[in-house]
Amino acid sequence: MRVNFQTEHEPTGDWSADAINLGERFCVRRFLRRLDEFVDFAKRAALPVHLLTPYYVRERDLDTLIEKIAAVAEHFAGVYVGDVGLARRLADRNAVTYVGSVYNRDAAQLLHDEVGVRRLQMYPPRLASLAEVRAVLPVEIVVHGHIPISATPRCPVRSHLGNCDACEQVRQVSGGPAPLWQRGNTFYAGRKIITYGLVSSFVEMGLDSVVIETFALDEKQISEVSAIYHGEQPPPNDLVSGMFLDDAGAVLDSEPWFQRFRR
Amino acid sequence: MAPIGRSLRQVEKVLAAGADSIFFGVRPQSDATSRLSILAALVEFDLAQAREAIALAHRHGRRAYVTLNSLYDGTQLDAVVAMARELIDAKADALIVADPGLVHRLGRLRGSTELHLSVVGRATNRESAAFWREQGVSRIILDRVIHVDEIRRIKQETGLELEVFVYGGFCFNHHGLCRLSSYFYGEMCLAPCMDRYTVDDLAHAGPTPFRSKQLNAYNALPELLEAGVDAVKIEGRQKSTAYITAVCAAFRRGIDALSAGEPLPDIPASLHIQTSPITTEGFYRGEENMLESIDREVGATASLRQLVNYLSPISMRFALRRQHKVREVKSRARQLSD
Repeated sequence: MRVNFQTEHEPTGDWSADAINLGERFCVRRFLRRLDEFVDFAKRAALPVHLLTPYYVRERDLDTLIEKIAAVAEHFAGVYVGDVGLARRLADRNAVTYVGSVYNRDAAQLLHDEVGVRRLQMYPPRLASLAEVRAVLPVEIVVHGHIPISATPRCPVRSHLGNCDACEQVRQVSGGPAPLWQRGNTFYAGRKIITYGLVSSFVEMGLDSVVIETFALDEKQISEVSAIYHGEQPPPNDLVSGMFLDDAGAVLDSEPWFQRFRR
Repeated sequence: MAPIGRSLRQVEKVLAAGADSIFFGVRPQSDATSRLSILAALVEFDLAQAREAIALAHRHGRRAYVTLNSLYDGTQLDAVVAMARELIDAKADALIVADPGLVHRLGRLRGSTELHLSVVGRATNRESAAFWREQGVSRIILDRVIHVDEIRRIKQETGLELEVFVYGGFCFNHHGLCRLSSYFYGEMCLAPCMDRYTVDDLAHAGPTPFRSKQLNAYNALPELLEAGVDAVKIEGRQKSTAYITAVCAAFRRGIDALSAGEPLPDIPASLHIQTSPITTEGFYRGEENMLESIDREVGATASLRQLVNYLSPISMRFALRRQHKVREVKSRARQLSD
C-alpha cells in the first residue's frame, strides 16, 4: 500500500512518501497561474508526482483546462480530476484518478468503462462502499489530515470583493501568518481525519494507496504520520479512527464538530 | 416546475397555479436506505401517494417527476432500483437522479420514463453533459452558479434539455461537493446550512453563519429562456402550499408574457414572501456574494480588513443544543418512515 502526500505547496524535506499529489483543487485561476510551479517541481522530484486539478469545472474554464493540462501531463505520473467531463477528455493519454462521490460497484464500473478512469480517490466513505468499489477499481482514500467542509471554489471572499485573488492579499490574519487561502479555501474549518486504527482493515481490503493531507501539518508531524502509516512505528494509543464509522451517531457524539483554526 | 411534498391536495392547487410539472420525493419501502433523495427527510410521499400524485398530474395533462437523487452504496442501490421500478410502472414522467450507479442500472429498465440529472450529479460543462446524455439522461438540472452564456453553450453543444432553479433556497456550496451534512448526519444534504448554531468566536456571523440568501432569478428570466433553458424550477418541497402556488403563479405570468413577445412584467409582490430577507439572482447574470450573513454583518462597503476580521476567527463549537437538534431530526424522520 502506497502512501501519498497531498499538498498545494511544493513539498520540502524527506517525508518518506511513495508519491506526491501536488496541485490546486479549488480555484481554476490559481491552478492556471501556478501550473508552471507544479511542472517545475515534477521535473525535479525524485518521486512520482500526480497533478491535482480543480474539482469543479465550469463550462467557461473547460477548454483552457483541457489544453493546459494536456500540454504538461507528460511530466506527471497521473492527474486527479473531479469532473467527469474533464476526466473523459484527459483519460486517453493520462492516468486519471477520479475524485468524486462513487459509493457502489455500478458507479465505479461506469466510470471505468465509459470515462476511462483508472483509479478512484474517495473521501471518507462507509467501509462497505469501500470494499465494493475496490472490487472494480483501485481505490485511494484520504486517511489522515485536514478535510475541508467542501471542495469548492465558491469562496465568499472572492464573491464579496469581486476579486479572485483577494484572499491571497491577506497576510496577517488575527495574528497568524497564513493567508486565508492556505486554510483550504473553505475557511469554515473542516474536521481532521485520523484513521490509525483502521490501517489493518485498509491493508486487508487491498487498497492501492492512502493519502495524507499535509495541510496544517509541519514537517516533523508529517514524518511521524508517514512512519506510522508505513508500519514503521506504532500508532499512539490516544488517537483512534474517525469518519469511517458506519454508525454516524457515534461520530456525532464523539467529537466537536469543527477543529479550531490555529490563531 | 413546482415542488410538492405535503399533501395530494397541494398537487391540485399547484397545478391550478400554472405549474407545467411537479416534482417530489418518495419514502423508502425498506430499511435498506433511510432516504432516497436529498432534502426530503420530512416531506415525502409514500409509494401509494406517489402513484396518486402522478395520476393526478396526468389527469391535468401535466408531468410528474420523482427525485431519487441521493448517492447510494451497493445494498442501498438494490432498494432504490426496486423503488424506481415501481415508479416506472406508475408512469412517472422522469426520475431525477444523481448516482452514476443508479443511472447505469436504470438505463436498461426505464422504459418511457426519462432520466433527469439532478444538480447533485454536477454537470457543469458540455463534456460532462455529453457523458450523461450517452448514459440515457435527457435533461440536465444545472447548478445555480452557471452563467447564461455557459448555459447557451451547453445547450448548443449537447442539445440536451436544460433546467435551472429560479426561486427558493440557494446552496452556499456546490451541490455534491459539500460535506457539512455528512459531518453532522452521516448523510447527504439535510440542509444543516440553514440551521442555527451556537458560535463562540464568530459573534459577527449571527446565528446562521452558513445560510445563503434566497434565490430569486425572476428578472433573469429573459436571458435564461433566450439561452435555451427548457424548464425553470422552484425549490422547496418543504414549503407551504400558499408559498408554492404564489411563486408558481408569478413565474407562470412572467414566462407567458415573454413567450408572447411581451416584456417581463415587474416583479410581482407575491415574490416577496421569501423566508430570507436578502435575495440573490444566483450567478446567472454575474457573480455575487451568496452568504446572507456577510451582507448582513459586513455590508456592501466593507473594507478588506473588516471582511478579514469577520472571517478570520472562524472557530466554532457546537453546543449540546446542536446535538439535540440532530437527534430530533433523526427521530422525526424515523417516526415518519414508520
